[in-house]
Amino acid sequence: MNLSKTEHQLLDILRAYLNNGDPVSAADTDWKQVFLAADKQHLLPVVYDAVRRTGITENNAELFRQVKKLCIESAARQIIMQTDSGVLIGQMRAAGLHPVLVKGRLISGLYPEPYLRQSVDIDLLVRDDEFTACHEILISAGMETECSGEQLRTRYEVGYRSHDGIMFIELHRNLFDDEEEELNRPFKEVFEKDQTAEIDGILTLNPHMHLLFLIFHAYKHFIFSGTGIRNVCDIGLWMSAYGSEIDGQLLYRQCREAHAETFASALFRIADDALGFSVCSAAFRSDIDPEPMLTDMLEGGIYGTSNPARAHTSTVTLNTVRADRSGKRKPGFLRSAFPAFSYMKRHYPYLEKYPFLLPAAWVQRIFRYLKETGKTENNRTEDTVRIAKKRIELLRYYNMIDQ
Amino acid sequence: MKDTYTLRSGVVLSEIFDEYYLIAAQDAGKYVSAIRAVNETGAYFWKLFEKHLPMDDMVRTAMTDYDITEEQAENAIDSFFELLCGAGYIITDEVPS
Repeated sequence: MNLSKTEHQLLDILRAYLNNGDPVSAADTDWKQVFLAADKQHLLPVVYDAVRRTGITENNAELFRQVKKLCIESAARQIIMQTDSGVLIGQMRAAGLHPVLVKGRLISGLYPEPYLRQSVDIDLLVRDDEFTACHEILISAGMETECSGEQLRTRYEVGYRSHDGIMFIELHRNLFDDEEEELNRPFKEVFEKDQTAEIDGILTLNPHMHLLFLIFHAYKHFIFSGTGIRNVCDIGLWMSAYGSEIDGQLLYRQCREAHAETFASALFRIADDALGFSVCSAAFRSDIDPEPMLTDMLEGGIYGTSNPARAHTSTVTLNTVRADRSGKRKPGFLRSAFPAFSYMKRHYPYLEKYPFLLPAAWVQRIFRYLKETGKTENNRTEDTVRIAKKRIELLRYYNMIDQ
Repeated sequence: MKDTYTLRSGVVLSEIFDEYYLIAAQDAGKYVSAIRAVNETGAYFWKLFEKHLPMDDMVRTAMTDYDITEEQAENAIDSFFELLCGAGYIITDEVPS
Protein backbone atom coordinates (compact mmCIF):
# COMPACT_ATOMS: atom_id res chain seq x y z
CA MET A 1 0.00 0.00 0.00
CA ASN A 2 1.14 3.52 -0.77
CA LEU A 3 1.42 4.70 2.83
CA SER A 4 4.19 6.56 4.59
CA LYS A 5 6.65 4.73 6.77
CA THR A 6 5.08 6.22 9.90
CA GLU A 7 1.60 5.15 8.79
CA HIS A 8 2.82 1.60 8.16
CA GLN A 9 4.43 1.53 11.59
CA LEU A 10 1.25 2.80 13.24
CA LEU A 11 -0.79 0.07 11.58
CA ASP A 12 1.81 -2.58 12.47
CA ILE A 13 1.64 -1.54 16.13
CA LEU A 14 -2.15 -1.59 16.18
CA ARG A 15 -2.32 -4.93 14.38
CA ALA A 16 -0.02 -6.56 16.92
CA TYR A 17 -1.71 -4.96 19.91
CA LEU A 18 -5.30 -5.71 18.94
CA ASN A 19 -4.56 -9.30 18.02
CA ASN A 20 -2.27 -10.24 20.89
CA GLY A 21 0.66 -10.36 18.53
CA ASP A 22 4.33 -9.91 19.29
CA PRO A 23 5.48 -6.36 20.06
CA VAL A 24 6.71 -4.46 17.04
CA SER A 25 10.38 -4.06 16.26
CA ALA A 26 11.79 -0.85 17.66
CA ALA A 27 14.50 -0.40 15.06
CA ASP A 28 14.47 2.61 12.80
CA THR A 29 11.31 4.19 14.19
CA ASP A 30 10.68 7.90 14.60
CA TRP A 31 8.60 7.59 17.75
CA LYS A 32 7.61 11.23 17.83
CA GLN A 33 6.01 10.89 14.41
CA VAL A 34 4.33 7.62 15.37
CA PHE A 35 2.88 9.19 18.51
CA LEU A 36 1.67 12.23 16.57
CA ALA A 37 0.00 9.97 14.02
CA ALA A 38 -1.59 7.95 16.84
CA ASP A 39 -2.84 11.08 18.58
CA LYS A 40 -4.45 12.26 15.35
CA GLN A 41 -6.50 9.05 15.49
CA HIS A 42 -7.24 9.37 19.26
CA LEU A 43 -5.18 6.23 19.76
CA LEU A 44 -2.18 7.62 21.63
CA PRO A 45 -2.75 5.68 24.92
CA VAL A 46 -3.34 2.45 22.98
CA VAL A 47 -0.15 2.89 20.97
CA TYR A 48 1.85 3.90 24.02
CA ASP A 49 0.68 0.77 25.83
CA ALA A 50 1.64 -1.33 22.84
CA VAL A 51 5.20 -0.07 22.69
CA ARG A 52 6.12 0.71 26.29
CA ARG A 53 7.22 -2.83 27.09
CA THR A 54 9.60 -3.16 24.17
CA GLY A 55 12.56 -1.54 25.89
CA ILE A 56 12.72 1.30 23.41
CA THR A 57 12.01 3.85 26.10
CA GLU A 58 15.67 3.86 27.12
CA ASN A 59 16.74 5.84 24.07
CA ASN A 60 13.71 8.12 24.07
CA ALA A 61 13.24 8.65 27.78
CA GLU A 62 11.99 12.26 27.73
CA LEU A 63 9.56 11.70 24.86
CA PHE A 64 8.14 8.58 26.48
CA ARG A 65 7.87 10.31 29.85
CA GLN A 66 5.82 13.13 28.33
CA VAL A 67 3.61 10.74 26.38
CA LYS A 68 3.08 8.54 29.42
CA LYS A 69 1.92 11.55 31.46
CA LEU A 70 -0.62 12.49 28.79
CA CYS A 71 -1.83 8.91 28.58
CA ILE A 72 -2.27 8.55 32.34
CA GLU A 73 -4.34 11.75 32.38
CA SER A 74 -6.43 10.43 29.52
CA ALA A 75 -6.91 7.07 31.25
CA ALA A 76 -7.96 8.77 34.49
CA ARG A 77 -10.53 10.80 32.58
CA GLN A 78 -11.93 7.64 31.00
CA ILE A 79 -12.14 5.94 34.40
CA ILE A 80 -13.99 8.92 35.85
CA MET A 81 -16.38 9.00 32.88
CA GLN A 82 -17.03 5.27 33.12
CA THR A 83 -17.64 5.42 36.87
CA ASP A 84 -19.83 8.52 36.79
CA SER A 85 -21.85 7.44 33.77
CA GLY A 86 -22.34 4.02 35.37
CA VAL A 87 -23.91 5.70 38.39
CA LEU A 88 -26.19 7.87 36.23
CA ILE A 89 -27.26 4.99 34.01
CA GLY A 90 -27.93 2.96 37.17
CA GLN A 91 -30.17 5.75 38.47
CA MET A 92 -32.09 5.79 35.19
CA ARG A 93 -32.57 2.02 35.23
CA ALA A 94 -33.64 2.12 38.87
CA ALA A 95 -36.28 4.66 37.87
CA GLY A 96 -37.64 2.18 35.33
CA LEU A 97 -36.11 3.92 32.31
CA HIS A 98 -34.39 2.23 29.37
CA PRO A 99 -31.34 4.22 28.24
CA VAL A 100 -29.44 2.31 25.56
CA LEU A 101 -25.68 2.77 25.68
CA VAL A 102 -23.92 2.88 22.31
CA LYS A 103 -20.43 3.44 20.90
CA GLY A 104 -17.37 4.33 22.90
CA ARG A 105 -17.96 3.27 26.47
CA LEU A 106 -19.43 -0.03 25.33
CA ILE A 107 -16.67 -0.78 22.83
CA SER A 108 -13.87 0.18 25.19
CA GLY A 109 -14.49 -3.09 27.04
CA LEU A 110 -13.22 -4.97 24.00
CA TYR A 111 -9.81 -3.27 24.02
CA PRO A 112 -6.94 -4.96 25.90
CA GLU A 113 -7.07 -2.12 28.45
CA PRO A 114 -10.55 -0.53 28.31
CA TYR A 115 -9.62 2.81 29.87
CA LEU A 116 -7.02 3.42 27.15
CA ARG A 117 -9.67 3.74 24.45
CA GLN A 118 -10.41 7.45 24.46
CA SER A 119 -14.05 8.56 24.40
CA VAL A 120 -15.13 12.17 24.30
CA ASP A 121 -18.64 11.49 25.51
CA ILE A 122 -21.19 8.93 26.61
CA ASP A 123 -23.99 8.31 24.12
CA LEU A 124 -27.41 7.14 25.27
CA LEU A 125 -30.35 6.40 23.00
CA VAL A 126 -33.55 7.03 24.93
CA ARG A 127 -37.22 6.52 24.22
CA ASP A 128 -39.02 9.74 23.37
CA ASP A 129 -41.48 9.24 26.22
CA GLU A 130 -38.58 8.74 28.66
CA PHE A 131 -36.50 11.67 27.47
CA THR A 132 -37.73 14.15 30.07
CA ALA A 133 -37.20 11.72 32.95
CA CYS A 134 -33.63 10.99 31.79
CA HIS A 135 -33.04 14.73 31.41
CA GLU A 136 -34.21 15.37 34.96
CA ILE A 137 -31.92 12.71 36.39
CA LEU A 138 -28.93 14.31 34.66
CA ILE A 139 -29.90 17.79 35.83
CA SER A 140 -30.44 16.51 39.39
CA ALA A 141 -26.93 15.08 39.28
CA GLY A 142 -25.55 18.53 38.50
CA MET A 143 -25.11 18.14 34.76
CA GLU A 144 -25.73 21.24 32.66
CA THR A 145 -27.16 21.69 29.20
CA GLU A 146 -27.37 24.65 26.88
CA CYS A 147 -30.71 23.42 25.56
CA SER A 148 -34.02 24.45 27.03
CA GLY A 149 -37.73 24.63 26.26
CA GLU A 150 -38.58 23.74 22.70
CA GLN A 151 -35.09 22.41 22.01
CA LEU A 152 -35.47 19.80 24.75
CA ARG A 153 -38.73 18.62 23.23
CA THR A 154 -37.62 18.46 19.62
CA ARG A 155 -33.85 18.02 19.22
CA TYR A 156 -32.63 14.61 18.12
CA GLU A 157 -29.73 14.91 20.57
CA VAL A 158 -29.10 17.01 23.66
CA GLY A 159 -25.68 17.34 25.30
CA TYR A 160 -24.96 17.61 29.04
CA ARG A 161 -21.67 18.62 30.64
CA SER A 162 -20.54 18.19 34.22
CA HIS A 163 -19.42 21.26 36.22
CA ASP A 164 -15.78 20.19 36.07
CA GLY A 165 -16.00 19.62 32.32
CA ILE A 166 -14.77 16.03 32.55
CA MET A 167 -18.00 14.30 31.67
CA PHE A 168 -20.12 14.87 28.59
CA ILE A 169 -23.30 12.86 28.00
CA GLU A 170 -25.53 12.99 24.96
CA LEU A 171 -29.14 11.85 25.08
CA HIS A 172 -30.33 10.80 21.64
CA ARG A 173 -33.94 10.54 20.50
CA ASN A 174 -32.57 9.24 17.22
CA LEU A 175 -29.09 8.00 16.50
CA PHE A 176 -28.69 10.37 13.56
CA ASP A 177 -29.82 13.82 12.54
CA ASP A 178 -33.46 14.01 11.46
CA GLU A 179 -32.33 14.79 7.92
CA GLU A 180 -30.36 11.54 7.69
CA GLU A 181 -33.49 9.49 7.28
CA GLU A 182 -31.84 6.57 5.50
CA LEU A 183 -29.46 6.10 8.44
CA ASN A 184 -32.20 6.42 11.06
CA ARG A 185 -34.66 4.09 9.32
CA PRO A 186 -33.37 0.71 10.60
CA PHE A 187 -33.31 2.05 14.16
CA LYS A 188 -36.81 3.57 14.18
CA GLU A 189 -38.34 0.70 16.13
CA VAL A 190 -35.43 -0.39 18.26
CA PHE A 191 -37.54 -0.38 21.40
CA GLU A 192 -40.73 -1.73 19.84
CA LYS A 193 -38.97 -4.61 18.07
CA ASP A 194 -36.83 -5.38 21.08
CA GLN A 195 -33.55 -4.90 19.20
CA THR A 196 -31.76 -4.23 22.45
CA ALA A 197 -29.66 -6.57 24.56
CA GLU A 198 -27.94 -6.68 27.93
CA ILE A 199 -24.17 -6.89 27.49
CA ASP A 200 -22.12 -7.05 30.68
CA GLY A 201 -25.14 -5.80 32.58
CA ILE A 202 -25.58 -2.78 30.32
CA LEU A 203 -28.58 -2.20 28.08
CA THR A 204 -27.44 -1.65 24.51
CA LEU A 205 -28.41 -2.48 20.94
CA ASN A 206 -28.16 -6.15 20.10
CA PRO A 207 -24.82 -7.07 18.48
CA HIS A 208 -26.16 -6.96 14.92
CA MET A 209 -27.84 -3.59 15.29
CA HIS A 210 -24.88 -2.14 17.14
CA LEU A 211 -22.56 -3.17 14.34
CA LEU A 212 -24.93 -1.57 11.84
CA PHE A 213 -24.85 1.58 13.94
CA LEU A 214 -21.03 1.57 14.07
CA ILE A 215 -20.89 1.27 10.28
CA PHE A 216 -23.46 4.04 9.78
CA HIS A 217 -21.68 6.23 12.30
CA ALA A 218 -18.40 5.82 10.42
CA TYR A 219 -20.28 6.38 7.15
CA LYS A 220 -21.81 9.62 8.43
CA HIS A 221 -18.45 10.99 9.45
CA PHE A 222 -16.84 9.82 6.23
CA ILE A 223 -19.35 11.93 4.33
CA PHE A 224 -18.76 14.93 6.60
CA SER A 225 -14.99 15.29 6.78
CA GLY A 226 -13.66 11.81 7.30
CA THR A 227 -13.59 8.88 9.63
CA GLY A 228 -10.49 7.63 11.41
CA ILE A 229 -8.74 4.31 11.82
CA ARG A 230 -10.08 3.97 15.37
CA ASN A 231 -13.55 3.39 13.95
CA VAL A 232 -12.13 0.44 12.04
CA CYS A 233 -10.50 -0.85 15.25
CA ASP A 234 -13.91 -0.60 16.96
CA ILE A 235 -15.69 -2.46 14.16
CA GLY A 236 -12.98 -5.13 13.98
CA LEU A 237 -13.12 -5.75 17.71
CA TRP A 238 -16.93 -5.80 17.69
CA MET A 239 -17.03 -8.30 14.82
CA SER A 240 -14.40 -10.44 16.52
CA ALA A 241 -16.45 -10.55 19.72
CA TYR A 242 -19.94 -10.90 18.28
CA GLY A 243 -19.42 -12.16 14.72
CA SER A 244 -21.58 -15.22 15.32
CA GLU A 245 -24.53 -12.99 16.15
CA ILE A 246 -24.28 -10.92 12.98
CA ASP A 247 -26.56 -11.71 10.04
CA GLY A 248 -24.24 -10.89 7.11
CA GLN A 249 -26.96 -11.02 4.45
CA LEU A 250 -29.26 -8.75 6.43
CA LEU A 251 -26.40 -6.40 7.23
CA TYR A 252 -25.55 -6.11 3.54
CA ARG A 253 -29.17 -5.32 2.64
CA GLN A 254 -29.42 -2.73 5.40
CA CYS A 255 -26.18 -1.10 4.25
CA ARG A 256 -27.30 -1.16 0.62
CA GLU A 257 -30.52 0.65 1.47
CA ALA A 258 -28.38 3.46 2.88
CA HIS A 259 -25.88 3.44 -0.03
CA ALA A 260 -23.29 2.11 2.43
CA GLU A 261 -22.61 -1.41 1.15
CA THR A 262 -19.44 -0.55 -0.78
CA PHE A 263 -18.25 1.67 2.05
CA ALA A 264 -18.79 -1.17 4.55
CA SER A 265 -17.03 -3.64 2.23
CA ALA A 266 -13.99 -1.35 2.20
CA LEU A 267 -14.12 -0.94 5.98
CA PHE A 268 -14.06 -4.70 6.44
CA ARG A 269 -11.17 -5.03 4.01
CA ILE A 270 -9.19 -2.43 5.97
CA ALA A 271 -9.98 -4.24 9.22
CA ASP A 272 -8.65 -7.49 7.75
CA ASP A 273 -5.78 -6.32 5.56
CA ALA A 274 -4.39 -3.46 7.63
CA LEU A 275 -5.34 -4.44 11.18
CA GLY A 276 -5.21 -8.22 11.06
CA PHE A 277 -8.84 -9.02 11.89
CA SER A 278 -10.87 -11.68 10.11
CA VAL A 279 -14.18 -9.95 9.70
CA CYS A 280 -14.84 -9.93 5.95
CA SER A 281 -18.25 -11.41 5.32
CA ALA A 282 -19.05 -13.39 2.20
CA ALA A 283 -22.12 -11.21 1.84
CA PHE A 284 -19.97 -8.15 1.21
CA ARG A 285 -17.93 -7.25 -1.83
CA SER A 286 -14.37 -8.52 -1.96
CA ASP A 287 -13.36 -6.65 -5.12
CA ILE A 288 -13.12 -3.26 -3.44
CA ASP A 289 -9.82 -1.41 -3.28
CA PRO A 290 -9.72 -0.08 0.30
CA GLU A 291 -6.49 1.87 -0.12
CA PRO A 292 -8.00 5.27 -1.06
CA MET A 293 -10.22 5.06 2.01
CA LEU A 294 -7.38 3.99 4.27
CA THR A 295 -5.21 6.83 2.97
CA ASP A 296 -8.04 9.29 3.63
CA MET A 297 -8.50 7.92 7.15
CA LEU A 298 -4.84 8.23 8.03
CA GLU A 299 -4.60 11.69 6.52
CA GLY A 300 -7.77 13.10 8.06
CA GLY A 301 -7.56 11.70 11.57
CA ILE A 302 -10.34 10.58 13.87
CA TYR A 303 -13.18 12.61 12.33
CA GLY A 304 -11.37 14.12 9.39
CA THR A 305 -10.64 17.25 11.33
CA SER A 306 -6.85 17.13 11.15
CA ASN A 307 -6.82 20.64 9.73
CA PRO A 308 -9.44 23.40 9.38
CA ALA A 309 -9.36 23.38 5.59
CA ARG A 310 -10.40 19.76 5.58
CA ALA A 311 -12.97 20.20 8.34
CA HIS A 312 -14.67 22.91 6.27
CA THR A 313 -15.25 20.50 3.37
CA SER A 314 -18.15 18.94 5.28
CA THR A 315 -20.82 21.27 3.95
CA VAL A 316 -19.70 20.57 0.38
CA THR A 317 -19.69 16.79 0.74
CA LEU A 318 -22.89 16.74 2.80
CA ASN A 319 -24.76 18.90 0.31
CA THR A 320 -23.49 16.73 -2.53
CA VAL A 321 -24.84 13.57 -0.89
CA ARG A 322 -28.18 15.19 -0.08
CA ALA A 323 -28.56 16.46 -3.62
CA ASP A 324 -27.70 13.00 -4.89
CA ARG A 325 -30.38 11.40 -2.74
CA SER A 326 -33.02 13.89 -3.74
CA GLY A 327 -32.10 13.73 -7.40
CA LYS A 328 -31.32 17.42 -7.51
CA ARG A 329 -28.45 19.05 -9.35
CA LYS A 330 -25.07 18.83 -7.67
CA PRO A 331 -24.76 21.88 -5.43
CA GLY A 332 -22.16 24.50 -6.15
CA PHE A 333 -19.90 26.18 -3.66
CA LEU A 334 -22.51 28.94 -3.28
CA ARG A 335 -24.69 26.42 -1.45
CA SER A 336 -21.74 25.54 0.77
CA ALA A 337 -21.15 29.17 1.62
CA PHE A 338 -24.82 29.67 2.46
CA PRO A 339 -26.07 26.40 3.96
CA ALA A 340 -29.74 25.67 4.57
CA PHE A 341 -31.48 26.86 7.71
CA SER A 342 -31.69 23.31 9.06
CA TYR A 343 -27.90 23.05 8.97
CA MET A 344 -27.29 26.54 10.30
CA LYS A 345 -29.55 26.25 13.33
CA ARG A 346 -27.53 23.32 14.64
CA HIS A 347 -24.36 25.38 14.59
CA TYR A 348 -25.91 28.71 15.54
CA PRO A 349 -28.51 27.83 18.20
CA TYR A 350 -29.80 31.40 18.44
CA LEU A 351 -31.46 30.82 15.05
CA GLU A 352 -34.01 28.54 16.65
CA LYS A 353 -35.36 31.53 18.54
CA TYR A 354 -34.54 34.19 15.97
CA PRO A 355 -34.75 32.58 12.49
CA PHE A 356 -34.74 36.00 10.81
CA LEU A 357 -31.06 36.29 11.82
CA LEU A 358 -30.09 33.67 9.23
CA PRO A 359 -28.23 36.20 7.01
CA ALA A 360 -26.27 37.42 10.05
CA ALA A 361 -25.36 33.82 10.89
CA TRP A 362 -24.12 33.28 7.33
CA VAL A 363 -21.88 36.33 7.64
CA GLN A 364 -20.67 35.17 11.06
CA ARG A 365 -19.89 31.74 9.63
CA ILE A 366 -17.94 33.18 6.70
CA PHE A 367 -15.88 35.42 9.00
CA ARG A 368 -15.16 32.50 11.30
CA TYR A 369 -14.09 30.41 8.33
CA LEU A 370 -11.77 33.14 7.05
CA LYS A 371 -10.29 33.57 10.52
CA GLU A 372 -9.67 29.85 10.97
CA THR A 373 -8.35 29.11 7.52
CA GLY A 374 -6.18 32.18 7.38
CA LYS A 375 -3.87 30.99 10.14
CA THR A 376 -1.50 28.75 8.21
CA GLU A 377 -0.51 28.35 4.61
CA ASN A 378 -1.78 24.77 4.62
CA ASN A 379 -5.39 25.62 5.18
CA ARG A 380 -6.10 28.27 2.63
CA THR A 381 -9.46 28.46 0.91
CA GLU A 382 -8.14 26.76 -2.19
CA ASP A 383 -7.08 23.85 -0.02
CA THR A 384 -10.66 23.44 1.14
CA VAL A 385 -11.84 23.38 -2.46
CA ARG A 386 -9.14 20.93 -3.50
CA ILE A 387 -9.81 18.57 -0.58
CA ALA A 388 -13.56 18.79 -1.08
CA LYS A 389 -13.24 17.80 -4.75
CA LYS A 390 -10.96 14.94 -3.84
CA ARG A 391 -13.35 13.71 -1.17
CA ILE A 392 -16.36 13.91 -3.49
CA GLU A 393 -14.44 11.68 -5.89
CA LEU A 394 -13.89 9.31 -3.00
CA LEU A 395 -17.61 9.25 -2.21
CA ARG A 396 -18.29 8.44 -5.84
CA TYR A 397 -15.59 5.76 -5.88
CA TYR A 398 -17.25 3.97 -2.97
CA ASN A 399 -20.73 4.33 -4.52
CA MET A 400 -21.95 6.66 -1.82
CA ILE A 401 -23.19 9.01 -4.54
CA ASP A 402 -24.25 8.23 -8.10
CA GLN A 403 -23.84 11.59 -9.86
CA MET B 1 -5.96 3.49 63.15
CA LYS B 2 -9.63 3.87 64.09
CA ASP B 3 -12.03 0.96 63.96
CA THR B 4 -14.78 2.88 62.19
CA TYR B 5 -13.95 4.68 59.02
CA THR B 6 -15.31 5.34 55.56
CA LEU B 7 -13.40 5.42 52.33
CA ARG B 8 -14.12 8.53 50.32
CA SER B 9 -17.05 7.66 48.05
CA GLY B 10 -16.18 7.78 44.36
CA VAL B 11 -12.45 7.08 44.74
CA VAL B 12 -11.38 4.29 42.42
CA LEU B 13 -8.11 2.37 42.72
CA SER B 14 -6.88 1.77 39.17
CA GLU B 15 -3.86 0.16 37.60
CA ILE B 16 -2.52 2.09 34.64
CA PHE B 17 0.66 0.98 32.87
CA ASP B 18 1.54 -1.31 35.81
CA GLU B 19 1.30 1.56 38.30
CA TYR B 20 -1.45 2.28 40.82
CA TYR B 21 -3.51 5.44 41.11
CA LEU B 22 -6.37 6.64 43.28
CA ILE B 23 -8.75 8.38 40.91
CA ALA B 24 -11.48 10.69 42.13
CA ALA B 25 -14.78 10.02 40.38
CA GLN B 26 -18.24 11.39 41.22
CA ASP B 27 -17.98 14.14 43.85
CA ALA B 28 -14.71 12.90 45.33
CA GLY B 29 -12.80 15.44 43.26
CA LYS B 30 -14.11 18.19 45.56
CA TYR B 31 -12.16 16.72 48.47
CA VAL B 32 -9.12 14.89 47.08
CA SER B 33 -6.76 15.13 44.12
CA ALA B 34 -8.19 14.03 40.80
CA ILE B 35 -5.41 11.50 40.52
CA ARG B 36 -2.82 10.36 43.04
CA ALA B 37 -0.16 7.72 42.57
CA VAL B 38 0.26 5.04 45.23
CA ASN B 39 2.87 2.32 45.31
CA GLU B 40 2.11 -1.38 45.17
CA THR B 41 2.00 -1.71 48.96
CA GLY B 42 -0.34 1.25 49.20
CA ALA B 43 -2.64 -0.34 46.64
CA TYR B 44 -2.54 -3.55 48.65
CA PHE B 45 -3.57 -1.74 51.84
CA TRP B 46 -6.28 0.23 50.04
CA LYS B 47 -7.83 -3.06 48.96
CA LEU B 48 -7.74 -4.21 52.59
CA PHE B 49 -9.41 -1.00 53.71
CA GLU B 50 -12.09 -1.53 51.05
CA LYS B 51 -12.91 -4.87 52.68
CA HIS B 52 -13.30 -3.17 56.08
CA LEU B 53 -11.53 -6.01 57.82
CA PRO B 54 -10.92 -5.64 61.55
CA MET B 55 -7.41 -4.38 62.32
CA ASP B 56 -6.31 -7.76 63.65
CA ASP B 57 -7.33 -9.50 60.45
CA MET B 58 -5.58 -6.89 58.32
CA VAL B 59 -2.39 -7.29 60.29
CA ARG B 60 -2.49 -11.07 60.00
CA THR B 61 -3.16 -10.91 56.28
CA ALA B 62 -0.32 -8.46 55.71
CA MET B 63 2.07 -10.56 57.85
CA THR B 64 1.34 -13.59 55.68
CA ASP B 65 1.40 -11.86 52.30
CA TYR B 66 4.54 -9.79 52.95
CA ASP B 67 6.33 -12.12 55.39
CA ILE B 68 6.76 -9.38 57.99
CA THR B 69 6.38 -9.17 61.77
CA GLU B 70 3.21 -8.11 63.53
CA GLU B 71 4.80 -4.85 64.57
CA GLN B 72 5.97 -4.07 61.04
CA ALA B 73 2.49 -4.80 59.67
CA GLU B 74 0.78 -2.64 62.30
CA ASN B 75 3.14 0.24 61.71
CA ALA B 76 2.76 0.07 57.94
CA ILE B 77 -1.03 -0.06 58.09
CA ASP B 78 -1.22 2.73 60.69
CA SER B 79 1.15 4.90 58.74
CA PHE B 80 -0.72 4.52 55.43
CA PHE B 81 -4.08 4.95 57.20
CA GLU B 82 -2.96 8.26 58.71
CA LEU B 83 -1.59 9.39 55.36
CA LEU B 84 -4.92 8.71 53.68
CA CYS B 85 -6.85 10.41 56.50
CA GLY B 86 -4.70 13.50 56.15
CA ALA B 87 -5.23 13.59 52.40
CA GLY B 88 -9.00 13.16 52.69
CA TYR B 89 -9.27 9.65 51.28
CA ILE B 90 -10.44 8.17 54.58
CA ILE B 91 -13.07 9.76 56.78
CA THR B 92 -13.08 8.84 60.44
CA ASP B 93 -15.79 11.24 61.61
CA GLU B 94 -19.15 9.69 62.31
CA VAL B 95 -20.76 11.91 59.70
CA PRO B 96 -18.72 11.91 56.50
CA SER B 97 -18.05 15.38 55.13
